Amino acid sequence: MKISLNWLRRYVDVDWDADTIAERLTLVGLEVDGVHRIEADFTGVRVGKVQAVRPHPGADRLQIAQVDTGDDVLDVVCGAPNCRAGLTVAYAGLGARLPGGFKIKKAKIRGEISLGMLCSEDELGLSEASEGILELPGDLPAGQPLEQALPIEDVVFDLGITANRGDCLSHLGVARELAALAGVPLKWPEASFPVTTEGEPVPVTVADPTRCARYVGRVVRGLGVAPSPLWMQRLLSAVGVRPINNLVDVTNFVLFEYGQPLHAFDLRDLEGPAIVVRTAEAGERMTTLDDVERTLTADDLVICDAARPVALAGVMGGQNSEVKDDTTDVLLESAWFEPTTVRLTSRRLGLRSESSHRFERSVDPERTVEAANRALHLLCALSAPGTSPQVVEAFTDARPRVVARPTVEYDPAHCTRLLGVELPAARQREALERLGFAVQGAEAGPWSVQTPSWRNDVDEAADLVEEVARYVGYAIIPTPPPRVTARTGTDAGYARSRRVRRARELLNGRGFHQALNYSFLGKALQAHFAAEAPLELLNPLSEDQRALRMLLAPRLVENAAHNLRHGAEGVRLFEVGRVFLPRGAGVQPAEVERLGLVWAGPAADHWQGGPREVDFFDLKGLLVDLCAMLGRPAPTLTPAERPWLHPGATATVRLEGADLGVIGELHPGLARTLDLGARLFVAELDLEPLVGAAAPAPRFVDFGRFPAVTRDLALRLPRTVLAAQVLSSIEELALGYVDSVRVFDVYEGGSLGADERSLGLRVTYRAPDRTLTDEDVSAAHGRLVDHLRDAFSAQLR
Amino acid sequence: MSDALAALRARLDDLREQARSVAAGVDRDADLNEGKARFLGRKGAFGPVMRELGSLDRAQRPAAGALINEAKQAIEAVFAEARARIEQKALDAALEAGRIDVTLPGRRSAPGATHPVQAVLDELVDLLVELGFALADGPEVETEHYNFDQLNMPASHPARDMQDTFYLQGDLLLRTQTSPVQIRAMEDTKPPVRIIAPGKVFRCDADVTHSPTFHQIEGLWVDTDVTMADLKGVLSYFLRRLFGADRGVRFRPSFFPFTEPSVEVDVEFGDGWMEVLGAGMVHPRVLRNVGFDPTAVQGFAFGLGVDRLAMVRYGITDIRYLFENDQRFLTQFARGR
Repeated sequence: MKISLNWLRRYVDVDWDADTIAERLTLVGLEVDGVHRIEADFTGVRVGKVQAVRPHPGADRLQIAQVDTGDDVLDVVCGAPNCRAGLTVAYAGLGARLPGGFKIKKAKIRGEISLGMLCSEDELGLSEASEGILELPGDLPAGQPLEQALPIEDVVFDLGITANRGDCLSHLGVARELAALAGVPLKWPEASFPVTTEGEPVPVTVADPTRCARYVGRVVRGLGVAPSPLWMQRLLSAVGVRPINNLVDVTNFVLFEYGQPLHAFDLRDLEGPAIVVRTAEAGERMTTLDDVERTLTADDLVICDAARPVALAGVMGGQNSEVKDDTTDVLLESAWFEPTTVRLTSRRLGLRSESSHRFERSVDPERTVEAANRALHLLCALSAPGTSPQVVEAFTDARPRVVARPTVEYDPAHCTRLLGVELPAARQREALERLGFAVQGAEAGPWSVQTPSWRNDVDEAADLVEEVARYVGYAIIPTPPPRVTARTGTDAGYARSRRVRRARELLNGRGFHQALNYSFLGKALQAHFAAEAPLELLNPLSEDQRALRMLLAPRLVENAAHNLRHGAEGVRLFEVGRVFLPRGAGVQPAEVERLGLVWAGPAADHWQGGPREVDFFDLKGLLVDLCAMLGRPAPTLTPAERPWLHPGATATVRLEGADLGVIGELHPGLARTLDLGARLFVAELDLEPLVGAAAPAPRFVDFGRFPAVTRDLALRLPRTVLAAQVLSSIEELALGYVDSVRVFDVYEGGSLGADERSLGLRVTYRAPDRTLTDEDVSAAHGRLVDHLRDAFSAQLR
Repeated sequence: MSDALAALRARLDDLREQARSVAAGVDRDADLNEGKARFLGRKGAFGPVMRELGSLDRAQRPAAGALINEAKQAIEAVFAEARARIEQKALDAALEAGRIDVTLPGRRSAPGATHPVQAVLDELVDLLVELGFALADGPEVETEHYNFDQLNMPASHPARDMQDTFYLQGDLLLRTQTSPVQIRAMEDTKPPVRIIAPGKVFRCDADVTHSPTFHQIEGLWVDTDVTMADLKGVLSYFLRRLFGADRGVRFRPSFFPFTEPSVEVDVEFGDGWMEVLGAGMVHPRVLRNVGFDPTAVQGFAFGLGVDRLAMVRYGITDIRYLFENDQRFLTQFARGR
């Protein structure tokens, strides 16, 4: 919210400069996000009087104004539609300088000489945007420098008012805080006006006292619509409001002054005239000021005349009763509407207004009449010349209920206990009283503290502690070194997170970047990967962010595609994150932490030897290394199929009896669908089996000091026999002296049949206690070969 | 000396001369061996000489033997020298052949990067663990109960508007903050509770500075005697460790539904202040909601946005880079930390 310093100074006398005020406000809880200075950033601009206007002979949209500049009458070409004879204007003479260093020179515009320029507000840097040239009050003398004629200089604070401080959404509200800080009184503005005893009050019926606790309706007659005075226009402009006319401007002005939204009805248009505040009927329709027809629900509160809705309570007025240029008699509404009602209506209709913003945060229920009176004062004082409006003395203050003001039991010792600093009771009392709280009770406490009517956010002792603390300043609270106590027991969560970090860092070491993806994706993308229905967001930002992910792979594949599309030679990405596995409608899903990984492009690339494309065994090797680095045994891979993976190059992975996940090559069909342009290898693994428990400490096993003997053999086998079958069969044989068996060669083609291949095995024999003899090894190796021959119909090559 | 001896000597001298010339002429191992065999081999030039030794006078034989031995040794030396020369030459040649351009690229596996948000998160976690906070965790798909109600944000509370929420069926939503972990931790543990909860949070909002997914780290310390001074002490220390020991840290009043008093904490940054975290004393209603007695226990909570911190730290200009996973972006963070 914008707050003008000039405006603020109307209500509080403090000699602090703008920066000090900004700092004090920030430190008391009204955060100043920005301080903008409005200054006369021009020279040579004077008050001018337009004596006559004639059309420009060479351009339809231009006119030539004859301007009295004080010491001369000059022709100035002007394009503003509001340029007319009799207007008092801001005239920039030859040699004048406007904001941005723009210099005024004698110019020929479409063949006509122009001796200067008539300025708009934004050309003078007085507002961000304006329509037409600035219209100055007629009583200003021609030739007077503009910076003397106009209240130009101001400072505008950008305040970030927190949701609990609706009372500070106004200049008086902010001034009240400032006055409390400075210990000076708040100056309430003038609110008197001429009254007439003639005329009846407009009767007000509040049919829904829950949603409307108070409704003041006051009639003023004989108004004349005219432009607002410049001082008011300047103040409204400073806070970002466009001046329109005295009627509209006054209601806006009081809104920004008191924080009380007001609404002016044209009395002519009110049936009755009478006011009924009631719940809307479902399906009831009304057209609001912005020309939109709204369909209402029973959650909305409407203001009606004797016949129909005339305003949407607290949100926006109705088109049928708005004030017009010829309005003379007005019913002014000042009310207290229940915050939740206004919030729901404004949210449902997407109608956020300055009014709804304030009602939602609650307005002061005790200043309803005063705010109305202030507006009436201004309406009467600023009415068009020649009019003499009067306020009908009798009015309705319908108050079906009193908004509760809680009394809070408060012990000053509680404050000390919570803040950790000794604050004398007297000082606490002073703070509370300065802030408008009524404190009753013995000097040392405990006290009964009544909250002021404008504060709806205080109903606990802790709230009062905050009031005291912010008043004395948080800086007064000491900043001791942190108290650290030794933890009893281990922090299992942190230990686990360290293991995850180790896994991440291992992958970093192998060239993999960590990716972070949104947890949601499009249903179409998800459907390529999983047949099961994902959980869905009801209000996604876009369709490609609707489904909660059930796999990390889809987004990672997308990431790979993105990188390849942008010229990456290869892709190495992994992600650690949760997937969401549905467990039924309305039930929290299982959240499973996964490690996903994608790998495309060269596994190695060097000027010597050239690139080598990644394949399944690079991925498998990485997986085995990862397990080893995390202190896990080697995982077991079994051929498997997934719709999104290559049917011949996919394996499920098991680790220590648990399912770890799946690795494989992305299905070439899917790769083509996703326009990947490269083979992609993917892993989707559960993290828990990898990092869930601390790995046992290594146990030393003597490696045997006697030499080993190796024997190679090549087995001709049916292709259907898996290497793992051969190796585990050897293991099961439990032959003495076999130290290790390793696949060192796989051969296909050549003299072998199409359904055959040859597996080269290197067997290492070793005895722990002696050097093996040739006979020992030959005997063992012979048995091994016999076994394999029998078990797999293998032939020795 | 007898003539015979003199003749022997001359012959030996001649042999030595010949050997020298042969050795000088060879430059291959095989030639050298062959050359050496011509003199010292079984059928070499010394064979006849030895046979002649028998025809000499008995008295002359020792002297003649000495001469022969001397000559043999000399020739051995000649060939040893030649061998050394050949070996040296071979080595020189091998070294020359092994000369490489050391400026050519090495065989690398270029290191991958920890994501910048993760890097900051790791650092924060380490620091807070050092300060005695234990790691806690909660679901990302939360209930309204934990995300809002228990945190003193009933359905009518305007503060719910501060957080645009992604909803799922039923009363489920994507958590808008890590604060529900506070509630879960307090429900699970009797005081003292001293936890941090890093994690993903979600808001339906997206532009240059807002991402629908971002990361927070939540902290909570509740015990019988944890005061706002402790809040200031812990957070000042923490932020100075993070930003530098000489940084100004400023605490100012703010509003969060689940803390009272509430604090916003700024760190000196350039000419002004940068808002880095929100905190406060746990609201008595929140304590009551989890069955704690606010007259017996009290404490503070804080929450901090990690992504923005990462952006400031690394000079990242657009939050969307964080979730695009472009390797040209990520690779810049592969340097050691």
